[in-house]
Amino acid sequence: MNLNINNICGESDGTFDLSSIANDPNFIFENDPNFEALKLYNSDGDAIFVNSWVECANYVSGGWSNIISSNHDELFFYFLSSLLLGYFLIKRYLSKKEKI
Amino acid sequence: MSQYVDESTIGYYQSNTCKLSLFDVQKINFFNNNVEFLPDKYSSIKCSGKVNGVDYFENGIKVYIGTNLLIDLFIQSFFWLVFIFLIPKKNTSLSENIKPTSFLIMSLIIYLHFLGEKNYYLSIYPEFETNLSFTNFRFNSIMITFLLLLFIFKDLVGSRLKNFINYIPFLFLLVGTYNTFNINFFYILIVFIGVHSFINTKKNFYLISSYLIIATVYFYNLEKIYTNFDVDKIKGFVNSSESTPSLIYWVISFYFFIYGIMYLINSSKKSFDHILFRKNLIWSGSLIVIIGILSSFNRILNFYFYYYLGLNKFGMKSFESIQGNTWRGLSSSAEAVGEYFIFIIIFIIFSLFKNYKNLNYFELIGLIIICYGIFRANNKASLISGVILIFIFLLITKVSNLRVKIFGFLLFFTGLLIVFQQINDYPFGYYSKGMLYHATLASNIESSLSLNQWGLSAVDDMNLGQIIIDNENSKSLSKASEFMLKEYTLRNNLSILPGWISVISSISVLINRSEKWGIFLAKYNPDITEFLFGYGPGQISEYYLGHSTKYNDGLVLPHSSILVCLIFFGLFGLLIGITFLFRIIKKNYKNSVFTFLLAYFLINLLKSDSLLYLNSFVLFMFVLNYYKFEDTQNEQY
Repeated sequence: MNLNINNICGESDGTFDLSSIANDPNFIFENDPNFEALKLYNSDGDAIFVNSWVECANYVSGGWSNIISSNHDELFFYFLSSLLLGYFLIKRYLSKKEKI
Repeated sequence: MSQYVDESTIGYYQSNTCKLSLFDVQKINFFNNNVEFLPDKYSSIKCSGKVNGVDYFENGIKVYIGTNLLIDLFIQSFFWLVFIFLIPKKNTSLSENIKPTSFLIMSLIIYLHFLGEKNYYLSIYPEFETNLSFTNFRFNSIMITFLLLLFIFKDLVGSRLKNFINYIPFLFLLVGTYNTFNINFFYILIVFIGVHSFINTKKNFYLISSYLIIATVYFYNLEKIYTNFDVDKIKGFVNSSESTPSLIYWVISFYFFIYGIMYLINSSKKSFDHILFRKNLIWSGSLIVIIGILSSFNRILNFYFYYYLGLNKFGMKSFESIQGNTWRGLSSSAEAVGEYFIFIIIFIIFSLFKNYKNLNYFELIGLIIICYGIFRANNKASLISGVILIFIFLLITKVSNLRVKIFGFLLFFTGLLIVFQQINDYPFGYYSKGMLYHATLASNIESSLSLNQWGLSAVDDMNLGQIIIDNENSKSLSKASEFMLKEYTLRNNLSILPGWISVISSISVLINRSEKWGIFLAKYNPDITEFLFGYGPGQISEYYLGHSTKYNDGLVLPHSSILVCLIFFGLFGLLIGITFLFRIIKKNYKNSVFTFLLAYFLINLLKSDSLLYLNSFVLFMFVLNYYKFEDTQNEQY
């Protein structure tokens, strides 16, 4: 997970206890002006912007990533386009058969 | 619940990403012009069409609307297919059936595109994969959707193909470039038509083998760098990479593209309707102006028009003119759209003098709107060339008295010389070396230049001979600049006539192209085979990024389609093209409308990049073949 955090959020200057942040529901992240805002995604494709290394690390350790993993939607799209293409192919085949 | 977007609500939008749709936001923010709507191309399907981010910048707030490449492909393609559906059918249909082989070849061509230009897509989708494994749903969906699109197009095209030529003007309005792909919808369709015609017509093996031989030189010249060239406003019509598959894609697809256009033109010889074409020119021209104005006044409409018209670049976001006092409106280039507007005027004037039907009131209003577009595009060179050509056309075709003709010519050209003398504010010496001065100015040569006693370098002093000496060690100049400087400085000193470089430079100063052509010289660094045969169709990245200059960021184009042809096809290709043009003109020069339309295009191509835009390229091909339609018109009217 640490490697993932470093890959996505970059190297950190200090050490942070991420578990204490996770256990504190009222924790407020402070913006770090030196940190370039990053966009992270969860498995549902929801997106958030993180504005500090700690915030980024917290979300990445919670399973968020800078890459969208929306396989479900794309699978649906895949079947939809295949279905439509199949419809056209069958229609073409039937009309050809009719002509014969 | 959407809110009015301002500084106080940015936080709200940032914590509610992917929840509010553009439709919701526009209800409250339709007239909010402090906000700029931009596509967030890297979005999930779920978040497509929703607000995916909001950022505050000094010049305003940017709202990012999620767009996904699969959704874009689906929505944009089917939206544009509807317009093809709207083209009226002709009684005739395709004489040959589109064979499954055409679909197979098209699939391979499209696959090659993604394989070759993978870096372009990786810059948008970091996990973009082109393998054809079952689980690569995204890429499989793209391939299937393209096939589906071609199947639907096949059903639509049959009875409409011969009417397409009359609707070419709408390519300037409905540009057809995908938001997330480096692909133009109409390019793919024309390539498809080309593949179909290639399969069904007699093949010219001399042409094919010559093209293949030249193509091998392109591969020999290829640097094989999987780069990601920022295609910007020429998206969909140039290569973003320098890879073998992308070069194969462009070499093959361009061949079929030309084949497709020729097939469209040749099969429409009898169905070309001059009046309908003229009407469509007026409609498209006036709609470009009107939509451009709407787009500049409203940020929501600006986004919609960009997306649904498939613009290469967002329309102007302000009604104010920019550099050079130009306003490009909806088009990605003020120069190209200005050229198009004046083409419309010339075409109408020629058609009226050919005694075709007069314009109705709607068309007259459209014409006034187009004139306003010309005024805002501020393309003086096109306007002047248009006026000159119309004047010469009238003198030649309508004046029978030779004395009046000669007097007219003399009066006109004297007037032009007086105007030129009045507006000319450059010192005389600048004309002969203005272009070379800009070439050295654009080159990264400062570090190698010695300074004189006043602290001025050879560039500041326009001392071209000293620049050559200073460049000997550093070799910072491009091969083109070095050659031109040596040619100018070392070979021109004995002649009483101006050298050819002085002539080109003087022309460049006269038509305000000395800076752009100078930048071209600074960038153009080919070896001998690249100079002779070019880099290949659509291959601009080696020219642009291959040699370091001060203009490696942003898209500074050569501003001459002749120079673009030199980059793509080399001197050899350019000479073949010119020979071909002369042959056509020689055969058909008596067809006055054709000759003048072509002359207008050729004059403007000298100083503009129009051929880098698909719509202008198709229009040029139309004009080049216009003589084929004229005979039919004379019979008809």
